[in-house]
Amino acid sequence: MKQKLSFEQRLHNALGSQQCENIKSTHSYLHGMMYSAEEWDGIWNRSKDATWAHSFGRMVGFDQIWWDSVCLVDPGAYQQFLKAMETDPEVARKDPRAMGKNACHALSSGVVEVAEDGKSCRSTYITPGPFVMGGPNSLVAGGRILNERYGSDFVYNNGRWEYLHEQVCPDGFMDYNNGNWAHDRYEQAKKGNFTQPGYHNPPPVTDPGPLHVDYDVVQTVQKTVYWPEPYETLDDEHSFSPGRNNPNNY
Amino acid sequence: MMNQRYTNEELVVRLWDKEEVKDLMCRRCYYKQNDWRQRELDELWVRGAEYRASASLANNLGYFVGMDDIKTYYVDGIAGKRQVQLEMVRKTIPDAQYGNSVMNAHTYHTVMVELSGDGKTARYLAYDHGHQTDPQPDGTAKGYWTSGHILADLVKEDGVWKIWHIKSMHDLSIPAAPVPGAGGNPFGGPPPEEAGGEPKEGGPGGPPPQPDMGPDPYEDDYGTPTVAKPYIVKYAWNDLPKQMPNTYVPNETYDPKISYGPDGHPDPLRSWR
Repeated sequence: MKQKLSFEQRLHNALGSQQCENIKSTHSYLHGMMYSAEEWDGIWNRSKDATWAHSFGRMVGFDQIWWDSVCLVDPGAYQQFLKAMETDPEVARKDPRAMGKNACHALSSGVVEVAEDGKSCRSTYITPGPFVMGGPNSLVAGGRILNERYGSDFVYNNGRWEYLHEQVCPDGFMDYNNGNWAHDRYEQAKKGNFTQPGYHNPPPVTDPGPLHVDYDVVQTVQKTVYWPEPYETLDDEHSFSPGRNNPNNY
Repeated sequence: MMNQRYTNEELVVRLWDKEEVKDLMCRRCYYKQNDWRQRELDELWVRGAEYRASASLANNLGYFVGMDDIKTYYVDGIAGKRQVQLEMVRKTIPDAQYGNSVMNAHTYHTVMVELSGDGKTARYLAYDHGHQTDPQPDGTAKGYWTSGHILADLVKEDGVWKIWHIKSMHDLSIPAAPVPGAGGNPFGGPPPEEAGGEPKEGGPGGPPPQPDMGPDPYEDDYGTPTVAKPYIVKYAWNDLPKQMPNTYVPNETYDPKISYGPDGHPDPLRSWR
C-alpha cells in the first residue's frame, strides 16, 4: 500500500469488500431464479462503460446488456414454462421465470480487492456450479455441473457499490455421472472435431470474441481473468474491461 | 464516505459480526462432517428458552420446530440410521464400528448475510455442495455428489452468534460412479456430426440423455416434520423464499414473516397445501 489510509478509509474499504461479496451472491441467486430484470435493475451501474462478457464476446453499455440479458432471455423462460404446463397442469400456478433452477453458479475461492482510493473494487471467483433439473419421479432432481471463472469490477457510486464489469469464462459443462469430459474430447479430436469457441447462437455484442474457449485436449491454459492484485484506482491496467474505465461515464 | 447512521465503532462491530456469522455457519459444516449432531445443537444453536421453543430445522418435507423435535429428528433419528447402517457394513466387515463407511462433507458457497439494522439478528443464504457416502444394504458402499441450499436465521445471544432457524433444502444426489457415454458441451463442444444439424440430445455438441434418477437416496431421511411444507425441486424457486437477504438496505429488526422459520415468507399461492 503506497499511502497510509486513515481508519475511516480502511473501514470504508473493508465494508466495501463485504458489500461486493454480497453483490456477487445477489447476482448468483437472481440468475438462478432467472430474475434478469431484477438483477440488472437492482445491482448494476447503468453507464455506457458497463460491460458483460462471455466466451462469445463483450456487451458494451447498459442498454446492450439489458437487451441481451433481459429482453432476449425472458422469452425462453416463458417458452419452457408453457412446455412444462403441457405435462404438469400444476405449473399453471407457478412463477414462470422461477420454474427452472438451471444455474446455481455457486461462488467459491473469492479474491476481492478494494482500490486504495475506495472508489472501485475487483474480484475473481470460481464456480463449481450445478445445473439442477427437476425429475418427474422424485422430490429431487438430476443435474450437470458448469465450471466457470468470473472477473468482476465494481464502482462506488452515489453512496452504494454497483456492478460495472463482468467477464464469464466457461471452462467446461460436464455431467456428474455420464462420460468423462477429457476422454470424450480426446475421442472427438481423433475424428478431427475440436472445441468451437463461443455459443451456437450468441447474442449481439459490440466486441465479438472468442474471449475464452472451453476445454479441449489441444487447449492451452487460459489466464483470461487474472485475480486482482492490490491497486490504487480503476484504470485500463486494473480492469476486466480495458477501455471502459472513465470515471466521468459512471 | 461517512456513514449517516452508525459510528465508526458500530461499523467495526457490524463488519466483524458478518465474519462471525460466516464462521458459525462454516463450523456447522465441520460438526456435521464429524457427525457431532448433539454437540452441534449444544454448542452452535440458541440457548435461551424463548429461542429454543421456536428454533427450527427444515428439510424438503417441512419444519421440525423446537429443540426437542429437532433432536428427535436430527440426533436420535440419524443415530438409529447409523445402527442400521452398521449392520449393513457388518455383512462384509464383521468387526466394523459405529460410523464405518459413512462420510459426508457439505460446503457452503455464495454466502449472503443480512445483518439487521439493530444488529441483533442476521439472515444467511448459501449454496450447499458436497458429497455423501453411505453403506448399502448388500454391504457395499456408495458415494454421491450432492447439491442444495442453506437458509438460516441467526441471533446474537449474550454477544455470541447462535443458530436459530435453518432450512436445508436438498436439490440432488448424483451417484459418483461414471456411466459410459459421451458428455456434451453446449458452450462450444464439437459441432454436430450431421452437416448443418442443430445439437441434439445425446449427440456430440448437445446435452447428453439424462437418466431417470428415480427416488433420491436421502428422501427416506426426511422424517415427519412438525410443520409440513414441502419443497418440490422441480418447481425450483417457486418453493423457496425469493426474497433474499437484502444487499443494500437491511430489515431494521427481526420479523417472523421474513424469517427462515415455519412462519417465514408466507406464499398465498401455496396456502392451500
